[in-house]
Amino acid sequence: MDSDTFSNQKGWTNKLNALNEIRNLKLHKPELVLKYGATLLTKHKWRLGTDYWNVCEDVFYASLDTLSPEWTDFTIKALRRQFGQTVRVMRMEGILFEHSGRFNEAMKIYEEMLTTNPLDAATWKRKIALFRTTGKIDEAINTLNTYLETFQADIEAWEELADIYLANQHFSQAAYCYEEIVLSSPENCWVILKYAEMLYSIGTLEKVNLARKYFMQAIILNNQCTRAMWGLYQCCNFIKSGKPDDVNTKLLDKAKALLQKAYQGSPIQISNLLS
Amino acid sequence: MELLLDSSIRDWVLIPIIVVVLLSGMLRVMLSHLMDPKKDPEKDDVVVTQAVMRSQKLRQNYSIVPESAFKIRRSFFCKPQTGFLYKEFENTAMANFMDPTSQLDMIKKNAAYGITTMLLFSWVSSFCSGFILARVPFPLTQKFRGMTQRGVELDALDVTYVSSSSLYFLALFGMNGILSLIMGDVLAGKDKIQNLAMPMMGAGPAGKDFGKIMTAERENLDLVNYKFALDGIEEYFLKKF
Repeated sequence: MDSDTFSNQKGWTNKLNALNEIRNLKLHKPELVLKYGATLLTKHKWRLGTDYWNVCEDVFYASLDTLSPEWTDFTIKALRRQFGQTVRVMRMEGILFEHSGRFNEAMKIYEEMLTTNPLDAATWKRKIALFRTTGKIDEAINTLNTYLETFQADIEAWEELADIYLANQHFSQAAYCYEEIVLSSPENCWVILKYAEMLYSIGTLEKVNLARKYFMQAIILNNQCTRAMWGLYQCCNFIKSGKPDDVNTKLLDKAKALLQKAYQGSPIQISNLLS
Repeated sequence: MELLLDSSIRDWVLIPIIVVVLLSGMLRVMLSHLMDPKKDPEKDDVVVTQAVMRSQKLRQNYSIVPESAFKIRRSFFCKPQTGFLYKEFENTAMANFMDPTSQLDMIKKNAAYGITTMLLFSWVSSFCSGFILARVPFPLTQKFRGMTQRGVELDALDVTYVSSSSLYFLALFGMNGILSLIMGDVLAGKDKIQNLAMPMMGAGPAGKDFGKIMTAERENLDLVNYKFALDGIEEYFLKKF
């Protein structure tokens, strides 16, 4: 959605609606949230009713993003006073610890929360993210695997696991995780493209052959996708160095032609890049 | 016909009824807030639902992943004995259905609501029946007689006069908005206050039979005849571009 839809809302109801909308759509607009939230919390406290606490929560997260400690302080204190040791407030305490770099305290909170409520997906994710932040990659992978045993259909988690594996050059594991994402959005050009790149990175002839198929699929889904064209070109070059094969030569020529067409009118000399 | 209503009717009947209805409403909300059982979804429930979702997705879009990827997943789900969909889960379906506590909770909620309403109604009708308590400041048609003059059978009486039992009902049904204003703080983070004040039958958790769902899913997945969608894409690609 366009960001202008939400900016410059006048009147407290419009501001509140904008905040609700941002929350529901899970958009990331900390400045805007802080701006609206601050007005609502200071000038319209009595009109908000129960929404006051939701706004408080929004402003809390927004204030962490924008480094506005006075708002962090204000909102967490208000929420603490109101709700005490509830799940959402506890998670916020954990995030606050993370924010100030006290990772051990944060971890303690998350672990405590997960023992009492092992189905709290958001806290699981915080814990995994915390492991990743502190560089404990093995723990992050293990925790994520435990999480995925319960929440198998959580695409976001599969993506994160693929990302962790990728960052550590475990391409086949990453490809396995990414297959989950391919399965859930088979028409998404970027997903197909990324999967193809993982297959190519594994580097065996069999996988590169597969990668070639997926690069073609990505180009079919989006014929402007230069990255997929380069991928196809690379795959064909890789396969060419093996035994000569008619289809591959044709595809290589096709990839070159597509790239030359895509770079028409660009200052980059494409013929220098295509050897 | 103009009636002059005694001011002590206002002081001793009208105001007490409204106050009592309001207070009982608050009490009821408080009680249901306190008694509200923490209904966490069972772990098995989540595990099975998510696994079935994943397997359904695999069934729908299997043709986009390579054969090895499909087979590895199918054997994860369907391998005899060890496959995920062969796992035994405690069947919460029958348990839920038969579970006396979950039914009891529902009955308790409904009963609390029904009993307080009935008690109050009998209190109003035994102490205050026959009173004309108030007059609405706008004209009403005859159709509203049943609403405003319950318990007072006077055809000649103007419809705008409100009888005591009618006032009780009006107050009872009109209370939700006021309650949510007053009790908002208590219930912040809760669902809509209306749901608490008037629990509905049949809103309980729908029972699921894990065994059946998993067997059906397993059979469906076993039936899938794998074919790779990208087979022969080379020819198509060369033709298209």
